[in-house]
Formats: sequence, structure tokens, C-alpha cells
Amino acid sequence: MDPLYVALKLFELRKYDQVDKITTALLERNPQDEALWTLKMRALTQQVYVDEYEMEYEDVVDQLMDESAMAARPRPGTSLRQPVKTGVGVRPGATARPMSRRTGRPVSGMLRPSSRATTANMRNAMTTGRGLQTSQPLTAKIGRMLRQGTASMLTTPNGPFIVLSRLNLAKYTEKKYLAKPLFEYIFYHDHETALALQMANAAHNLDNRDWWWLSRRGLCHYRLALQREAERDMKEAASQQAHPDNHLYLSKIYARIDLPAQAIESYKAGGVNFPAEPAMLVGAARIFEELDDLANSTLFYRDALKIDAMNFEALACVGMECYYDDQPELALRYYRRLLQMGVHSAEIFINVGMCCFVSQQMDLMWSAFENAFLLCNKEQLADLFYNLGYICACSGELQYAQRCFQLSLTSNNSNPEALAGLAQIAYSEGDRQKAVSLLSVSVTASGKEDASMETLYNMAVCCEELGDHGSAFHYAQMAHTLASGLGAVDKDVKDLLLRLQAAIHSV
Amino acid sequence: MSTEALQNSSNAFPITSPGQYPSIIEVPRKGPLQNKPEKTILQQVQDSDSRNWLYYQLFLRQDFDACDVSLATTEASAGVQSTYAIYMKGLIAKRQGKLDDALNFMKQCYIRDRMNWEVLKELTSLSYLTRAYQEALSYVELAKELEPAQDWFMAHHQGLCYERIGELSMGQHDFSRGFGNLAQAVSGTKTQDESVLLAVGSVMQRKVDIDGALKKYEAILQDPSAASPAVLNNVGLCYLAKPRKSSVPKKDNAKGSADEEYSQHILYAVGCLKKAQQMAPLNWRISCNLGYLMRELRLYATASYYFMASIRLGTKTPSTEAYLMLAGVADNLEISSQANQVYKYCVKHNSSNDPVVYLNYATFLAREGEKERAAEMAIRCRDAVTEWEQIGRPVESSITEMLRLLKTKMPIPNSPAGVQDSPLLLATRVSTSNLDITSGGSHEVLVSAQVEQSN
Repeated sequence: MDPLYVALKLFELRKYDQVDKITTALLERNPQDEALWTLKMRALTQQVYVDEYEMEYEDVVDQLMDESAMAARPRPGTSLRQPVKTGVGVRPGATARPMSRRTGRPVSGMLRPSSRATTANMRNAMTTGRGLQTSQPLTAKIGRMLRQGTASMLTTPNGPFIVLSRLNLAKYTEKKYLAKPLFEYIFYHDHETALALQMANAAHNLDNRDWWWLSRRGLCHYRLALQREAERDMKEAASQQAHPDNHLYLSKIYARIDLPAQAIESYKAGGVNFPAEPAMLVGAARIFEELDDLANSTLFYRDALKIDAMNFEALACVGMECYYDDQPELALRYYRRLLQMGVHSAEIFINVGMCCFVSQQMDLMWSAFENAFLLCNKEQLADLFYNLGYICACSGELQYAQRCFQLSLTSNNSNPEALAGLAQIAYSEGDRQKAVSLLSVSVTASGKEDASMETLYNMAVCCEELGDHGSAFHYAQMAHTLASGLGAVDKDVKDLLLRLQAAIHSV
Repeated sequence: MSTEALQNSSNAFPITSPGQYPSIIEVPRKGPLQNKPEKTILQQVQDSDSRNWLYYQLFLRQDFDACDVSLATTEASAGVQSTYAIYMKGLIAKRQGKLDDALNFMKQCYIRDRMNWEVLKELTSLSYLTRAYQEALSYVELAKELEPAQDWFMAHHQGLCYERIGELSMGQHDFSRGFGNLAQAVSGTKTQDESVLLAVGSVMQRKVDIDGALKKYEAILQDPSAASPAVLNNVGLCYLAKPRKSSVPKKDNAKGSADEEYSQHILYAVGCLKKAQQMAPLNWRISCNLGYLMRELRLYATASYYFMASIRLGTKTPSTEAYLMLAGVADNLEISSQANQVYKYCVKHNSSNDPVVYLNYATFLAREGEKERAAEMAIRCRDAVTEWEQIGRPVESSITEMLRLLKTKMPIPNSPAGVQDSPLLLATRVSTSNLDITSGGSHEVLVSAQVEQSN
């Protein structure tokens, strides 16, 4: 059989390694064969291809050096950078969904890169290692963008496949059948963005009605952090050709320059052109979720599910919303669907267990937790034990609850939730001193800046009951500044502060 | 002339307090200023005190930073620390919540001026606030020596310290008087303080004014961050206690909507109580109420789970109600041996001699066919009722009614011979409400032991 035919067939089957081997061997015999050359380029590109419209980590450097920010203090609901303001009639049960520890946003059903990135704080990023409770990477792109020099050397002992510096770009740009694969090779495989941009520019000058080159030029601009130029290119590309990718890229750019409303509009415009494309709906739902508009977010996720019942981001998020909306039975159905699809992870089993507990199906609960035990890693183990401890506490088994919380601490020795649980039990047993010491462990472990408002509030309450008004005032003040920093006003904290002030200044 | 001035200043220099900067030595200048006489110590002290009015004014304006700055500049220029300045610093530190610093300043003041009543006052309150109760008491003693005819302040703090040391128990609340005062507070001043609203709501709830209570709670829940487990618990109970509307028999629609409304209420109740439990899982009252609710919904196994949880959580405040209802649930689940055991336990630990316990056990035994012991329990129930009536505790009419019915079924006097064989097919609704308000004035539970007997 013709080896080129075999290679083409293998390419169709996505066996890129084998394609690479065959084409390399063939090219040694005939280095001028353009078909082989193109095939090899495409095989190499496909190995490292990523969907550019997916979310990515936004690193601290990008956020701090961001020049596109419109206002230092944007109006509420117009920015993704501000923490969400809660408690002002946003949702009636604001206590329902716990806030995530670092970002000041409600926890999401799906762990996405962007669900962690918010208020940039260089100090936090520097001091917290990327350990269990990662905040944000300092530099995000390096891991993905770096060329794996050693690896490419190994596969190609005679040096790199294409030496870009010796390439006559103008010549290849004119050959339309070669230009596009070559561009993708440069852009995705070699990450030579400047060179890729040069090529895109040249190609665009040759034929300015080709939307493909416009959108690729936009990608290059985006990667070079020239977001406004990228936006212009993408807009033009989208007007020339209503391709789903163009809408998705455009929305991503808007989200990046912190224009959530524009991003949503763009997703919606894409949805008009492509009503059966779930990516648009999921994208809009993500943005809504980051704006804490959970009602709309769930609406869009549900719409996405109508089109694509296998989208597990949508399943997980809708399930989460159901759980926190007092519909554990419904949530259970979504999670069961995920399990049926073969997504077996500890988190899902933990969630199933919790749903069973809340909907009083104790018998099913245990088997779910047993499965979770088999699957979980250390971080999940801490959460799992914490949840078990909570269940035990609800059942009045305080001894077991204590043990579970302690086991949770062995997996993650600064788990604030577990420490809070232990402190609560100590408090309920009347041992204020022990509660204070447990809470202070939590505060020192996470650092005073990162301690949650609840921990500080509890600390203040315990100190007050012990009669130590000075410390109580101190912690209450910390809790208050933290709450107002997140844009929320917590009534309990305010009351406590007023009470303490009254006690101190009673004369 | 100029040499003299130099002489003077060098003379003055060594006597001033340590820490003075050499820059204060005035370099003799030409012109009339040259003749300015150097300050004596007395003058310096007067100088340093001359701006006391300013500190006080700044302090009253709560402009603490400005006050601090002006204190520091005067101190530097006068070279003498005045007691008043230190006192002021102490007050500022106290205002800012730095109690330890404040205490140090006040102690310095006290060293300088042992006769100052105000300083002693501050020392007492600061020691009390930083948990140094013995120290506070010693300051009170000092103050007594200083001025035997003292004001209320010292006595007040002495009392507070003794309370902290001796852990005096809280006094009993006078329930009805409290309601009068509270009602006045709400209607008179239109205050929207939620603890008052909660207390009023719970009192209304107890007086079965469900809609009124709900209104009060809604006023609290205007601010979502003010939702506390106590409020949610009470709201849940309100929905549970809402009477099922008597449906108009003519129209089926109306009946359907009434039923729908009732089930809606029950759903609200479940939601509220579950959220309350989520917020306060260690609260035995909420668990108990959830159990009761589940029993209403005929989810007996779940109900027993919640009652067990409540019993485990409430070990410090054991209540027979939870046990009694657990027995009832066991009965519903047709585990009669268990039910029997729990009933026995209830009877044994019935410290308040509640007739409901005996009554429930009696009906249970009668149904199980143990007529002798049933009769015995019925007698105990009757005795308990008479005892309660003698003390003046209210006995619900349903109890006496039920007892009367029991009497018709079995002879209460000692001979158990002529007991009729027919089983008791009585639906009784016996309820008691335990009346206790926690010191926070925030909790309210309507526990009703309800025993329904059906085939």
C-alpha cells in the first residue's frame, strides 16, 4: 500500500505519533514533497492543539499590569474583578450557597480556571504556594506556551522539523494550500506568536476578504495581550463570516478586558446565528455565574442541557444549584446522570452522598461515601471527612463528629471548616477557651489576611463571652473590614461591633 | 547680653527632663526676641497643661489622629510629660480598642497621681474588660479608701467582677411582665430591632397568633443577612401551625386549592427548618422540631432519626418530650418492644409529673392488651392531673377529655376484672408546649406530643 495513503488514514484515526514516524521516514527520501510536509506539520500541530476559546488561567501579572481596566471602582455588576456584593437583595437565601474561601464568590459546580481568579493581590500570590489551596498562578502561560525543547530534540535527532528563521515566509504565504497549516504549526506548535502575526498580516494583505486570516490575526494579538486590536480583528471576522469560533473568541476577549455584559451580548448574538451550539450558552452561563447572577446562569445551563444532554459542566452546575436551592432530589438526578456518563470522581460521589443525606436517604448515602473513599485524593479526603463530620454533628453524634473533623485535619492540617466544626463542638460543650484556641489555629494557619469572616466573627464572639473585650474588639474589627472589603454588610458582625463598642465605652 | 542669654540657656538645660532634644536650646538671635526669658520648670508644666482644652476638644470630635499629633508636638516642645496627656492617650487607645495600651497609659497616670479618681475609674473598667477581675477589684478597694462616699460606677463594676468570678446564674425571666414591656417597646418607639421583634413574635406564636408572628418574622427577614437559625425555626413552626383551611364542600376546586395551600405550607416549613438545621446543626430544638414535622408527614423512620439526634444533642437539657415522641414513632413503626422500653424510660424520668406521659403509655398498653398496667397508668395520669390542678399548672382540656374516655373503657378503681375487650379506637390529640425562653430571648419551640391511634 502507498505509505502516504496509510499516513493519511492514520491521520484520520488521530494516530498522530505514527503519522509523524511514517512522514519523517518518507521525507528523508524526498524532502521536497509538499504533501508529506503538510501532513507532518498537521500531525505535529494536532498533538498540541488546544481550543483557544476555552477559559484559561489569568495570572496575577496580567491582572496587575492590566491597562484595559475602565475604572478602579466599577459599578456593581459590571466587572468580573470585583467580589460579588451579597446581602442586598441579590438572592433571598444569601446564606444558602457558601462563599468560596478566597474569591468571595459563591462556590461553583465546576472548578474552572477562571472560577479562582479574582481580586489580584500580588502579596497573596507570592506567599501562597500552588499547593492544596491554590490561589492563582503567578504566571499562567509559561506552562502551555513554552516549547518543549528537549522533547522535540528527542523526536527529531537531526534538529527541529522546520527551522523557522530560515523560512521564506513570503513565499509560503502565497501558496494558499500551505499557508494555513504552516501558520497553525507556528502558532500552536512553536509558539512563535510574533512570526505568526507577521504571516497573518501578510496573508491578510494578499486577500482581505478571508475571515480565517482575520480571526487568526486576532488570536495572535490576543496572545500578545493587544486585546483592543484582537477585538477589532474578531469583530471584522465575525461580520465577514458568522462562524461559531469567531463569536466565542470575541466573547472571550470581552471577558478578558472585563466587559462581562458585552461578552454575554456577544454570546447571545452567536446563539442567534447558531441556536444549536451549546458552547455559546455555556459561555454565557459561566459569565453570569461569575457575576453571581445564579438564576440566569442556571437558566442558560439548562438551555445548554436541552441541546447537549451530555455536557457535564452544565450538569454539575445545575445539580449544584438544585442542591443549594433545597431540591436535593433533583440534584441527585443530575449527579446520577453524570455517573451514568462515566464521570466517576470523588467529588461527584461526595455530592451524591450529601444529596442523599439531605433528602433523608441514609441507606444510599453510605455506599456513595464508600465509593468516594475509594476514589479520593488527599485534598478530597479532607473535604470528605469534613462532610462526614457535619453529618455526624447533625445526627447528634458529637464524638464521631469530632473524630471526623480531626481526620479531616490530618489530610489538610489547616482546613478552616474542620477547625470551625471542632470549635463549634467545643463551644457547645461550654469550653470557650478550647474554641478560641482552635479558631486561633485556623487564623494563624491561613494568615490573618486570609482568615474567613466567619472565623473572625466566631473568634470575636468567644472572646467576648470569655470577657476579653480587647481581643474581641480586635477580631470584630478585622471581620468588619473583611466583610466591607468584599462589599458585603453582615448584620451580625455590625451588631457585635456596636455591642463591643458600647461595652468598652460604657462610661 | 548675648553671652548672658547663652549662659542662661545652658543653665536651664540640664534640669529639664531626660529625652529632651538639644534643638530646644534657643540660639540667641538679634532683635527683641533676644530678651525672651528662658522658661522655668513651672512655666514648662503650665505650658504643657495649657493646651489640655484642645486635646479634649479633639477627643470629643473623635479626631484621634489629630489629637495624637498635637499631643506629640506639645510633649516635644514642652519637654515635660503631663499626666493629662498620658490620660488622654489612654482614652484614645481605649476608644480605638487597644485595651492593653490603654491600661499601660492609665497605670503610668496612676503612678504620677495616686489621688485621681477618674484614673482609678478607667483602671477599674479596663481591668474588667481585659479579664483581670482581681486587679479590678483591688482598684475598687483603692477607690474606696480614696473616697468612701463613691458613686454607682465602682459598685457596678465590683458587682460585674464578682459575677464573672462567681459565675452567678442568670435570674429567672418573668414571662408575662416581659411581654408587657416588649409590647410597649415595639408599639411605642417603632423600633425595628430584630431581637425585640423575635421575642415578640415568639410570644405571639405561643399565644397562637400565627399570622401576627409571621409578620414580625418577615420584618426581620427583610435583611437577608439577619436570618438566624432561631428566626428560621420559628417561621417554620408558624407555617406548620397554620390551620388547614376548612374547605367549602360545594366546590371541588376550592377544596383542591386549600389542600394545595396546606401542602405548600408544609413545604415551607420543611425548607425553613432544614435551613435552620443547616445553620445550627448542634441545636437540639431544631432537630426535635424537624422530627415532629417528619412525623406529621408520616415519615416515621426519618422522624425517629431526628428525635434520636435531638436526644443525643440535648443531653445537658434532657426533655421527656423527645423521648415521648420517639416512643410514639416507634409505635407508629410497629416496633412495640422498643416503644414499650422508651415509654418506660419516660415514665421513670418524668420529673415534672406530666400527665401526658402516663396518658400516652396507658393508651399504648391498652392497645397492646396489657390492661392491668394500662389501668395503673391511667390512675397515675389522673393523680398527676389532680396534682397539676392543685399546683395551678394548666392542664389541657384534651387531656381530661381523653382521660374521661379511658375511664369509660376501663374501670379506673383498682379491680381490673371487668375490662372490656374492645380495642381503643380513639384519636387523641394531646399537646403540651414547653415554655422556656433562652437567655438570648430568641428561641421558641412548640413541641406537641401527639399520639394518633388508628388501626
